[in-house]
Amino acid sequence: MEHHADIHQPIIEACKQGDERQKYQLYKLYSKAMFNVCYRMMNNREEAEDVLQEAFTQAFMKLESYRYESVFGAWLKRIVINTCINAKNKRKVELTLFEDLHQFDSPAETDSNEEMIQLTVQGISKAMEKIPEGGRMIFSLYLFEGYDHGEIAQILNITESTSKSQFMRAKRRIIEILNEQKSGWYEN
Amino acid sequence: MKTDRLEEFIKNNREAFDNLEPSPEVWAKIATETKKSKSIRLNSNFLKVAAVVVFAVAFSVLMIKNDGFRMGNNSAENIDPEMVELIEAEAYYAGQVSKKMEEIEKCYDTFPEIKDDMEADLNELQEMYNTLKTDLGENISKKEVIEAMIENNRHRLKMVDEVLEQINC
Repeated sequence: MEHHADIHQPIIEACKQGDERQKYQLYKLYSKAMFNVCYRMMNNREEAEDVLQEAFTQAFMKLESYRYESVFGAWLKRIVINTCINAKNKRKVELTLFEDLHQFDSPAETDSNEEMIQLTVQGISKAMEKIPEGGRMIFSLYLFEGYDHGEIAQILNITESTSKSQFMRAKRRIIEILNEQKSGWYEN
Repeated sequence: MKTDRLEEFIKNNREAFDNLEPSPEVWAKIATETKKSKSIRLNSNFLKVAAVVVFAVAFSVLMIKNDGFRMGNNSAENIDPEMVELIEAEAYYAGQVSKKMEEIEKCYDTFPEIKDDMEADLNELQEMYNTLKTDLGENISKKEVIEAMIENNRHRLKMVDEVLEQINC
């Protein structure tokens, strides 16, 4: 197995020994990035904080089993995402995906305006909050967290082709919303 | 594919999307949770190292004594420069630590759990320090003992520094 040297190895090793202060150092290094992962998955600040707390608590408990097979950030991110999925599953509500109907929306019009859209971090973040949950998760896992469709299929327990088609729809819907935002601004 | 402009933008500005901060209460909850499952052991590496040093020194003292090999009687007419160094270091670290402890004590109300932790850790270091002092009195392996004592002081300062940074109240 490949061994990944980690610049934070001394901190990680101290945490394995139960050093409380080093645990806080490790939390400080990764909490912000992981919180944003949680927020994109949960779409709700409060739930994102609950999940972040649970994920870090679990990570500290499992830390002993971390053997540098992957970089620490990737190891931790996988725990965070699994915790998000578990939290969603607990609510026993089916993941809301884009309905098939959506593909009959006229794509031509959207695409023609696409070149004109001004892309901003804030605009895209806001648009992501408005799309169906499953689509948002797939969009986020693929574009933000760097998983491929095969991995996403496994994480979300869906087929790879569902992941791909939902990703395309999520992308299209985000462009539409950005378009609406743009025209909204002109009206004001 | 036209929409790749969107993908491109996200990839190029990936860092800027991580703009939310979790509230400080999240850490407080994690700290409480992890403490529940904490096993009883020396809670940091440096305490372990310090314990090993104390043990090694104590062991060598015993060995030498049992052999009846005594190095006493060497009257110190001049003040040893190593002792001067120790006295200076002790004064410096004690000053720094007590200044920082005042800051930390102000936060005991907000973080009551820190009080016990701090006191336990400091007591542990103090006990080791007392053992070292006894060893020093025996006048054996003086260089190592003095080094260990200074190291002990350094750990104390490092510890209060880290706690101060962590509570930040």
